[in-house]
Amino acid sequence: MSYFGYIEPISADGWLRIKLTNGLIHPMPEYLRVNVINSANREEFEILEGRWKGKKASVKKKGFSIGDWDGSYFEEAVHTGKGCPHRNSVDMIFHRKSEQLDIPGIGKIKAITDTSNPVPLGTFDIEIPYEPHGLGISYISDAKYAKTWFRIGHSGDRFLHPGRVSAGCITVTETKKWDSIYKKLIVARKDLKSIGTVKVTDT
Amino acid sequence: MKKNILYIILLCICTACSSTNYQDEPCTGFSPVNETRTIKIGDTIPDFRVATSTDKILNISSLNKNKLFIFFKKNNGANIFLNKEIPHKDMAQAAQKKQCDLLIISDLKAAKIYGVDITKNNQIANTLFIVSKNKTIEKIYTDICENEIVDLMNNQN
Repeated sequence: MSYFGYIEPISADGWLRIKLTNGLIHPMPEYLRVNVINSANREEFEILEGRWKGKKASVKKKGFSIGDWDGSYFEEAVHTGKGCPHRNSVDMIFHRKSEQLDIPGIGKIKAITDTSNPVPLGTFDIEIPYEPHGLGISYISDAKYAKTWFRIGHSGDRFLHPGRVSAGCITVTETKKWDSIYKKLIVARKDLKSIGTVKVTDT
Repeated sequence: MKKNILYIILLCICTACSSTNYQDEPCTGFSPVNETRTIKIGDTIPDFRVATSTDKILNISSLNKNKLFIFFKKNNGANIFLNKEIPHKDMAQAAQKKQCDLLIISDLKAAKIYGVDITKNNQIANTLFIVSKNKTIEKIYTDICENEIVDLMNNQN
């Protein structure tokens, strides 16, 4: 019997390695909404949001452990006890000149963009993450989730990410705060593609 | 007297704890090269914006002393050091004496832009770029260590 669920929190780095039906192994972000079709030793599911929406995949169940009776990587809302883990859209403001990112519920964070190739003015969707970014590993000692970057818009290569170098992204330089920012963004939802928005101003 | 000794011990501990864990690179002999994966001698350096270890924020194109040394270094965590911030005292002093800018970076994104080799376990290959005042790359060296960089800086005219 199928059920709707979410990839549960993945303790290592927030990414669950799954196998798509074409055999490709690909990481998926925690809290991604899925429809679990078959829950045998290998769970089969359909991805319901993000870049991989509509794709079918599978993952082998975890080994037995006390406190995790079913070994599944997926949680139904009813099992979480709190209903759907997703929260409202997070709508941020990035001030290019003052180099500050305002995040509701977190506050003002130092963030930079390259002045010779700045992130453009306007309001953009912030995309549900679709793969980890190896370049973030430079900052893994400051932030466990440093490899999870959020794309600005739905095309191109500008991201919201932690670091101390910006070549056109919105780069959060307070890297030790990234994990709390990540935890706010990863559960937020605007629609099936986005976790929220960022408004880029020239103030 | 006991109070003073305790104070001195405490001061020493605090100083030791607050110092950066900077690791010198082993000197195995550096190699001059003409190019990296993305840029070559004679090119203008790619620009980007950095936040240094003391949260000084600048575009590297704004560094305008006679020479700019950009050292891509592995084993440096998330730190970016500029001039006086550099924990390696000889390097910092050589840069000051020769009136050069010296920037030490361990960021993978910046390394990728500059075409610096990155190993399978995400380690940057130590690479030095010597850049003229007009932002043109004059020299590129790989497998270089701090002491060799000090010698190169001291030999600058």
